[in-house]
Amino acid sequence: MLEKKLAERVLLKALDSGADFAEIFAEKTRSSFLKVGDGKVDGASANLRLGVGVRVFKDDFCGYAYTNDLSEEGLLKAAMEAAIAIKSKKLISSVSLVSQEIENKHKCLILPLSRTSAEKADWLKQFSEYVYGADARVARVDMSQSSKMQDILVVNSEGLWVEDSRIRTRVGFSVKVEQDDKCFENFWTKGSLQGLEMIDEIDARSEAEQRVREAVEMLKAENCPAGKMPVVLAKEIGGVLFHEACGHSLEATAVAKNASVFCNRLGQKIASPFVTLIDDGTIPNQWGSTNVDDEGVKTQHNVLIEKGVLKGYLVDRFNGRRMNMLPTGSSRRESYEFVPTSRMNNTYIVSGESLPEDIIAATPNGIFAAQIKGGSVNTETGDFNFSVSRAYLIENGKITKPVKGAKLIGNGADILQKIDMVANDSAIKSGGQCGSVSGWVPVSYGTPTLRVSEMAVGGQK
Amino acid sequence: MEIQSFIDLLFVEARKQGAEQYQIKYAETERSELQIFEQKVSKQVAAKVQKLNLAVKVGDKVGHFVSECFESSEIPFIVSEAIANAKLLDCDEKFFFYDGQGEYKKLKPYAPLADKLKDFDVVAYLKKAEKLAYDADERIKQVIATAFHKKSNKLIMRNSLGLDLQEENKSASAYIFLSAQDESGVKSFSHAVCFDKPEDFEPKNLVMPAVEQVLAHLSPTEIVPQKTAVVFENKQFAGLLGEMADIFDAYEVDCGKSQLKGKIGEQIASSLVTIVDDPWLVGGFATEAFDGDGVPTKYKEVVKGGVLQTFLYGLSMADKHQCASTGNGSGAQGAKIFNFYLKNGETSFSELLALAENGVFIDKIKGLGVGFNAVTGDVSAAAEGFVIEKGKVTKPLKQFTFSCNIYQLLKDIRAIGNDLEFYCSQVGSPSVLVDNVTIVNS
Repeated sequence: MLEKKLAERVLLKALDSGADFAEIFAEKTRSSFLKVGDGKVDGASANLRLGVGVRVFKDDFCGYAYTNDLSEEGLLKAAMEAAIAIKSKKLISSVSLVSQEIENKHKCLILPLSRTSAEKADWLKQFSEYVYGADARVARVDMSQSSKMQDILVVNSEGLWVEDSRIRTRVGFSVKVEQDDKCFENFWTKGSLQGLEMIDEIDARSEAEQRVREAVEMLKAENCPAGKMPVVLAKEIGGVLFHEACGHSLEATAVAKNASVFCNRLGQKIASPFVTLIDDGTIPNQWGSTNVDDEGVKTQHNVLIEKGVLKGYLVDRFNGRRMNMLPTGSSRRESYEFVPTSRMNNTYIVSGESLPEDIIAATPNGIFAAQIKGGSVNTETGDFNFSVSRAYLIENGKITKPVKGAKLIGNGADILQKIDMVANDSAIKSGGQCGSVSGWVPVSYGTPTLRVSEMAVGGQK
Repeated sequence: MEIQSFIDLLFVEARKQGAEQYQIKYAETERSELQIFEQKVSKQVAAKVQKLNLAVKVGDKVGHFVSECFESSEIPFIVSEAIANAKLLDCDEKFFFYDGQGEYKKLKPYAPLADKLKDFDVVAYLKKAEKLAYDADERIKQVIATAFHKKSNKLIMRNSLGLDLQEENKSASAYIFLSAQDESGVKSFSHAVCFDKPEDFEPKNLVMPAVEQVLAHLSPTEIVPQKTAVVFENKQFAGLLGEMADIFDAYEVDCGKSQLKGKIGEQIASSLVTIVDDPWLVGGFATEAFDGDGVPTKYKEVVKGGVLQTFLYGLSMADKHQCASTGNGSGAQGAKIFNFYLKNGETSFSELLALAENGVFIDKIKGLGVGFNAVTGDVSAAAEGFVIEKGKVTKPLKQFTFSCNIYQLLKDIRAIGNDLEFYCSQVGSPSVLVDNVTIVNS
């Protein structure tokens, strides 16, 4: 994307006014998006993104400028604008960039452009037919498929020159079922850091039937009871709760500004001993993985909580300065239009030793949360609120009736202490998008089946 | 490459590749941002980017390609991809470009006060704001963010039918986000100003609303779960209105994602409710002369006296429903709203509280986006607020969850305040008293 000598000249320009670090992030991304509604293609678009961001540091100041004028003049202007607030003695007067070889852990077998959009549309239509065919009560199906090929280059004044290519494929659908005056909408997504082979691996008929079955079952759901009770979170889906209610509070973005409930608590017991929480950007082909982060640092297997003890935060270069910590390969951004900061990749709780069925059997009464639609968290306090789109009553140690309108209300720090059973079936849900200060980034999250001994459940009954 | 030459070459290539009609939307955006943290400039951002959206028509379908690359070598690829996308579509809707007929209003949109902004010392303003916040009360724990943003945007829309439109807008805003702490715990609030009033240039007017609000929420009590009357602060009801705007979109109605199908002319809300979409509002944050299809915009009452008057249409859905565009085109099937608001009622805020007598006043909602289900109309989100007792706001409440159904909520509106505000947004509302809202605690 950039000539090495040109990159060096741009870095030197950025360092002119006394910055102690300068970096260039260049990106070229081709993406395509297809939509099939009611069995027909109702949207098709493609996108070519091209741009560069120049970032400088001087102590705890960060300057950033971005442009899609990739001429030397345009890049030098961006370098100057990034550093415009620094008025100090020049510290670095030479930069020598050395290419860093990185191992590609995320093999792509079928490039997105190797199939025509018409072929992808046909596959989506077939998938849509499976969903409609699964039950007469299916009223509307909307499917989407997207492909993205992002080539990035990160260079910095420490001599780093690293390139990475990220190919992502994502498929999703929503299905609305109706009966009499009742309706329910179910969702499904899958995303991978790989090519179209991901699509070939999907058993579309089986996914269609399962999601429709789940939706139809919810048509007979009664209102959820309210009160404090044990809550069993289904495998995979509990991950969104820990991503939102704990993960964000462990990002340096919040910790460096003393705006997290987990500030200054390293080495302390912050969760029950059943909890080991990992954020791992290295999992092969996982949706939230990358070879290097958006600062060019290799992604890592980061242990955040180990057997209940806080072991680490997710740290980017800039916040690492304030915290006096090394980066953890967790710096991410939606595109060159965003300043990168610490974000999660694939966040999950490690399997425990219980059997999932034993957890249900050991719970006389409570709620089984089978699918969480989403929620919100106040990072400063850890208070959260989640809407459970599919929930079931647990009565006498058995999952019984579906219930609707369930909300999980609580505090991240509090529920970490109340996890009292963790099953051996940890699994990761892919295809998520997390929105924060550095834009939308692909994330995955997971949990084994686990129980929170007591949580406030909001319901209508 | 110069953008004008690029567009000319693009159109030549589109003709060469057999596109029947073609259109571009080109946007040039410049923005800057400055943040202060602990009395030092902590972040400064400057940017200039260009994006071009090429739309080509093949038969009655339109395909798109969005490019940030303006190299002539990419032109054949951009055009061929857009054409391939058009050929893929087999939906029932037809698509249209517009020829520029009709009157495009000369409007006065929101703009920051340029004269005052020209010599404005942003760093001094933000530093003073941060200091004021800490000095205001010893319970202020952290000023988490103090930021200033400035943006200018230039849009060109041109097509092979002769449409040739241009629009420019500018914005500036400052934002403070802070937390306070006492023995009961931590609370956080934010406030923003948009520099369209002289008083916005005074740091205290950025800081004090956030400080006063965060302090008022300290030492909260637990709410008793109940179904009750709720007074939504104007800003919060505007948030709800923005979330529910899609239920008036003709495409959402067609897709079964709104329950308003077949209800034009029917009473769908309390007779107090009039909802307006006004692209011509003086000083509005979405005051625009043309919509995403290039069609001149129109003033409309979507709901009047509680009766549904119209859905929102662009050219594609207007053709499908055999009616005229309401000037709400987005460039695709869906509709775009402009200055969208609930019309003022006649009740003062204190009278709303008096009418509620006992209930809850909500002045913060979080997570509305994920808490709203357009298909069922169910909404639930985390909220903060105060107890209303004997017609007065009394104790602050710990975070709780409220839930209701928006279709029912529209009917359960008992009174509407006279304090319509837009708060740096295109969606506005007065404060509103609603019955039968379910409140649950943690």
